[in-house]
Parts: sequence; structure tokens; C-alpha cells
Amino acid sequence: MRSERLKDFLIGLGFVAVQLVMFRHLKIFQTQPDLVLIYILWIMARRDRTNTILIAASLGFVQDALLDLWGLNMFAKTVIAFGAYNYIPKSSDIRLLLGQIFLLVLIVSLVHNLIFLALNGLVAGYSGELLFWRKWIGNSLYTATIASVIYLFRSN
Amino acid sequence: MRFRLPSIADAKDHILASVLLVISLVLMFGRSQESVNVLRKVSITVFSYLEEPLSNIRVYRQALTTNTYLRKQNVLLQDELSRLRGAAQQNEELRQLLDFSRRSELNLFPIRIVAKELNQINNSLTVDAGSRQGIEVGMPMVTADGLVGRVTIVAAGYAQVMPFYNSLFRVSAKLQQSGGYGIVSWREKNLYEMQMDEVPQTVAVDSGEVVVTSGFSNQFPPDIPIGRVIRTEPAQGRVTQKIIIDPYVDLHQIAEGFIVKFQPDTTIERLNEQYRELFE
Repeated sequence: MRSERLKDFLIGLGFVAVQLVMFRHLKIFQTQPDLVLIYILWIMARRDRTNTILIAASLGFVQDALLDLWGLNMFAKTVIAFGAYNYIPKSSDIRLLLGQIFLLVLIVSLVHNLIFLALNGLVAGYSGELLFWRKWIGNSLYTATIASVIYLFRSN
Repeated sequence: MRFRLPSIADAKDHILASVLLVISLVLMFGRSQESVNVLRKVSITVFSYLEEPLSNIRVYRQALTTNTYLRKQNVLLQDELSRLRGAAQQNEELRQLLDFSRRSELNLFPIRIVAKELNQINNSLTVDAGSRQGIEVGMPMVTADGLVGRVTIVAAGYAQVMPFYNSLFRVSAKLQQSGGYGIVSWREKNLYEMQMDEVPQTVAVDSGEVVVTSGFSNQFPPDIPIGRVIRTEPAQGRVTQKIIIDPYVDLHQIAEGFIVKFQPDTTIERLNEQYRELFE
């Protein structure tokens, strides 16, 4: 179990690195996807809740440390891992359609980004209207699209 | 109906999530603590190693644009230089007459931007020079176009710069033509504009007027260009006006720059401290 957890964490670190080096720069209208969130959703479908929470919090911490956001991603991802776990279909369940995957990731991403923005507003006292909609809706749509593309390739 | 009290094992995930959430809240609100600052220095170094290869691509791409821009600038500057040579000679003669000894010579250290975080939340730039190169917290960063920001964290080989697109950034500035003084900060309602506050409404400001650092704050040397005035917005019921500025430096485009090895005047700092002590 521990080696499996370590393996998941190391793969997650790879996702964090890819997110930082590549996906963070693939901006469309200043929006960017969150590959780490997609990986956490994948973990949710395969591992138990304790493992998911630990992986989400540790990857959120690493992401925060590298982006100098200290605690924001860690909080949002832990809440998502804890709260959304029961709503994510497990791998043994019926195979989901592409539209269902898109909608699922979109909803989770919307909640995640809303928590992130609310906390950021609390910590930094910043509430730029433009930023809010772009980050909330834009990033969530982009993340859901990337998740759908990954799912499509994985399915094939 | 029988009730069963939940055991610790049942609430394991709840406890774990709560502990992790508390840790993240501590990190969030204690980010300026010295212990977290040590972690931040380590993270800057790791982040820079990850981003450095990408910065090379950015530098090459930017070099092509810069080349065209510089050739145009060269023609314009040659023309300006010939006029300034005449003015410099005249200025030297006048200085000698006035025994004017003050001169401004910025000590510039060339740097390359290895990582940019312009996600509009906690904007920062990471540069490839740190304490080993004599960079210190508070030193300004500039490009040929003007002011970029100021150094906030220094690690051994890297430093983090807070650019002007940051809600915490403030610089004391002056209007070059009309002579008004004020504070320039990021205009959060628009991601690509800055605003200058505390300028009295009696100061007539024209669009296109150049805004430079005043040197009053003792944090930035004077006369570093910041941007140009786009428009003014009179504040209702206040004696000051709000001046909207278009910054000269495009943070999304820059790949290189200079750190000004500027040391604040300790005499002024001591005077400020003594003044504060009077009211404590």
C-alpha cells in the first residue's frame, strides 16, 4: 500500500512538473488548465479516500511551493479530494461517455477554482472582476477540455 | 432502532482532511514568516531549474523582435545623440558655473528572467542572479524601456522580483512635464493599466505625459521611466485626481533586464526613524 502511494505521489510529481514547464504556458485568453487536478480525479477513481486526500494535499503543497502560492492549492485540492470522492465513479463502474467526463471535470474544476479564488481574495485582498471570471470559468472549461482529450486518447 | 457511535477509524478521513486543511491555512496566513521564507528560497531555486530551459527559447524568440526594435531605436537615438552632445557640453559649462556636484550613475547588473508568473494573482518574476552576485532585497529591476519591479526574495543564485503588476507594488512617482507627485500602483480593475494617486486636482495633466520615479521613497533612484499618461479621472469629493498610466515595459514580452544595485540613503532612513520615534 505504501509503495503504491509512493508510486502515485512520484507520478503526481511528474504531472506537477509537466504542468509547470508546459501546460502553464499553453494559455488561451490568459486561461490555463490544471493537469494536477485531472490527475487527482484519476486517483479518486482508483484509490481509497485516505490515499486520495494524502496525494491531493501533498501535490497541492508541491504546486504551491513552486508557484509561491503557499496553501492555496493544498487547501482547494484537499477539500475537493475529501468532498468529491463519493461522487466520482470508480473504475469498476459503467464506462463514462466523453460528455459525462467533460461535465464531471468541469463541475469539479469550477468548485476547485471557486475555493481557490475565495481563499485568494481572503489572503491577498484582491478581487479583480476580470480575473475572477477568467480564472473561474475559463480555467475550468480549459481543464475539462484537456481532461476530455486525455480520456479520448486513453480510451483509444 | 439502534444507534452506533462512530469510532476513530470511521472518522479517519475526516481527521486527516481537517489536519491537512489546518496546515494549508497556517501556510497561507504565515507565508511572510521567516521559516516559510527559507522554504520560499528553496522553491525559487527548484522552480528556476525547471523553467530555465524554457527561458532560453523565450530569449531567442524575443531576440528577433528586439533586433528590429533596436535597429529603429538606433536611428532615432543617433539623431538624439547628436543633439544631446551639444546640450551636454552646454550643461557641463553650466554645472561648472554652479558648482553642481550631484550626478546620477546607476550601477546596473544584467540578468535573465528564468521564470515568469503572470497569472494575475501573485505575479512575480524569477531572475538568474542572487546574493552571490550582490543582489539584495529592495533593489529595483529595469529594462531599457523603464521600471519593471523590485527584488523581494534573494536566494544564492536566483532572486524573485515583484513586478508592477502586483497588488502590493507601490512606487513614488512624478509627472515629468507638469511636476505633480504621487503614488503609482497596479490598477486592479484593468490588468494592463497602472494608476497614479495623490496628485492634486490643481495640477493640469495631459495625456501622453511621461511618468518617472521621483526618488522620494528612498527605494528607487529618481527619473526611471514608468509609463505615459492615458487619461485622468477626477475623484468626486476629493482634492486629488486619479491618473491612468500605460506602462512602458510589457511584462509578457521581456526576457532580460537589469537589477539596479541601488542602496537606499542611510542618512534619510535614520532621519525617518528618528521622526517616527518622535510620535511613538
